[in-house]
Amino acid sequence: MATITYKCPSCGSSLTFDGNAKEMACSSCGSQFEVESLKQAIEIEKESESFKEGTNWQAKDEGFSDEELNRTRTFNCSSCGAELITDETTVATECAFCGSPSIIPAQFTPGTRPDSVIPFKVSKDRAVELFKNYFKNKKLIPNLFKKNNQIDEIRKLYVPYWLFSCTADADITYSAKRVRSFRRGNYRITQTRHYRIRRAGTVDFKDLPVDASEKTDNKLTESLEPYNTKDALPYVPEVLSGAQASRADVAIEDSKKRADERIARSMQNELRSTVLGYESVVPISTKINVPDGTCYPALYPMWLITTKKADKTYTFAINGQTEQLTCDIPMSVPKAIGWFLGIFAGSSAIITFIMSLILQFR
Amino acid sequence: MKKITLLIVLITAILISCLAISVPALALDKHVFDDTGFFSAEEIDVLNRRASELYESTGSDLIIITTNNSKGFSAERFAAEYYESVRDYENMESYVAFAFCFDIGKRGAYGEASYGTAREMLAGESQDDLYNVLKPHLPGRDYYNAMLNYMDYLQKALTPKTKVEILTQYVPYIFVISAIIAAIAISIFAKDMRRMKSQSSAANYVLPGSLKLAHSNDIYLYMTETKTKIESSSKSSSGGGSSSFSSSSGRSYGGRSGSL
Repeated sequence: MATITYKCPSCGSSLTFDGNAKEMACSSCGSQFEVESLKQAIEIEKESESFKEGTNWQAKDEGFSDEELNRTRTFNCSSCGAELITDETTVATECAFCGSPSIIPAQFTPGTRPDSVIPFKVSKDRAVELFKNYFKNKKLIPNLFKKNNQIDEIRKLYVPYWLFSCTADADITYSAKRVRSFRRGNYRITQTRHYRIRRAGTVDFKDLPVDASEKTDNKLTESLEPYNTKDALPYVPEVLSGAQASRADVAIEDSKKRADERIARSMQNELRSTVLGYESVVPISTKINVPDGTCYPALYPMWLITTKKADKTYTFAINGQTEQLTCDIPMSVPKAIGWFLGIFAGSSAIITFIMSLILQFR
Repeated sequence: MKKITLLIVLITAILISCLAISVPALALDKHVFDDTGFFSAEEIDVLNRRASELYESTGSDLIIITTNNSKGFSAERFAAEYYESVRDYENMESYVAFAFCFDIGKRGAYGEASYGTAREMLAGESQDDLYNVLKPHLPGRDYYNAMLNYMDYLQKALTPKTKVEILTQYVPYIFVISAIIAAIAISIFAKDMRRMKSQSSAANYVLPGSLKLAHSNDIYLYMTETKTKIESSSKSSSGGGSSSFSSSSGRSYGGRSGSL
């Protein structure tokens, strides 16, 4: 299988996709090219140059198990010719030898070719800056992270998602109470009116993303939501240039379970928001139907940064579009207790001081 | 002779003047008006002495009355009327009159009328507070000890609280408020850690205005009612705070009362 590397027509360096300008950019000479213009330039080059194509390097099967072979793919870097070994889901990567960005569109299996891609708006420098800024003024961060926080690895990733759109319907019955309390003579009278409430209706959901990659933790990808789909571009391989990307390897059926869970919770919230004026509302019967709507694959941008501390690897993820950051840095419990006691004591002292002033001037 | 007469007149005039000046002071020595002869002489002496001490330490005058003829007044109103009849009330800034009216109801009634600073300081005290002070001695009609208890109670209630005492009163509230502030601060710090967290719903992906209700019914089923008695379980106390009333002179009093 061949990989695609986009070369700068001016200087021959590798091109990457600039999400802000929505053009291919050359980091060496600074040239920018529209995707369509670049395609035409490549066609012209293909016609004018004769180059050997289709060199089929065969992967040696010695030492590889059948399972490993099934999950391993080899490619040739179209820039330097080196053999690239990736897993079965990688659709964009960088050559380990020459660093050229390589796109492997053939890796998309039927149904996993993304319909849309949200390009990166956050540059690598900005991602590094966000990582460094994270450690400033964090009250509950363990002392381990107070200094010398070095990036162990930073990766520009397109994460595959399944985007679900549907019209869900729900029929929920609630038991509700209205409570009125008043004084009658020497008695406090509490009247409780009991109601049976029914709400049934539909709600439209659009482009609910569910992580479609086995490699990334759902909690991590959901922490980076929401993405703004208005910036999404129709998929073209050029967009992936300069980043790493995988195709969806989680079946739609499996992702749908997660989508159904979130939609069901939203349906409950939406219908509950229409039940007003009661002191107590308890659902007694809930029927939610999430029909099969539409589902299509998409790629969303993410910077993945790892840092090592005391032989442990910690992960930071940054939404490549919105700069939303999340991580798995633990919270320091002793610091939390210390801060709680400190604020408690400080607040008590301030309140007591204010009260003594009030008493003095009263 | 004329000189002697003049001297006698002069001395008499001086004595009368002195007497006139000292009338209120002398009157304040008597605090117990036991018209029914309920208390013994020794008890009256002790009560008078204690009431004088109360006056010296708090600045509030107290009189204790027993009567079999409350003239149709309620016990607290009678106490106020009685005070105004025996004291130069217009020159008193703070006083309390307590009356045992044995002719009210089956067993009689007690009433307290307070005025001025005393009224302000007793405003936070309830009928139950007064009843609880007297309660141990009411069944045995031991009104002497009931009054000693009552004066101890007044001593505390009419002595302005120190700043520390007031602040100590609020310590539980200060602790609760501080704990809430600390918990809020910690939750903000924890949120600032931006740790990975699953989304609970799909709220960000609901199309605005897409909720269409097919059924929206609120059906009233039934009503339940509970009654809770407000007053305490005691029969002789009417519960609640003190009431206010005016005497025939137009003075406004704070009043508390109960049955004996």
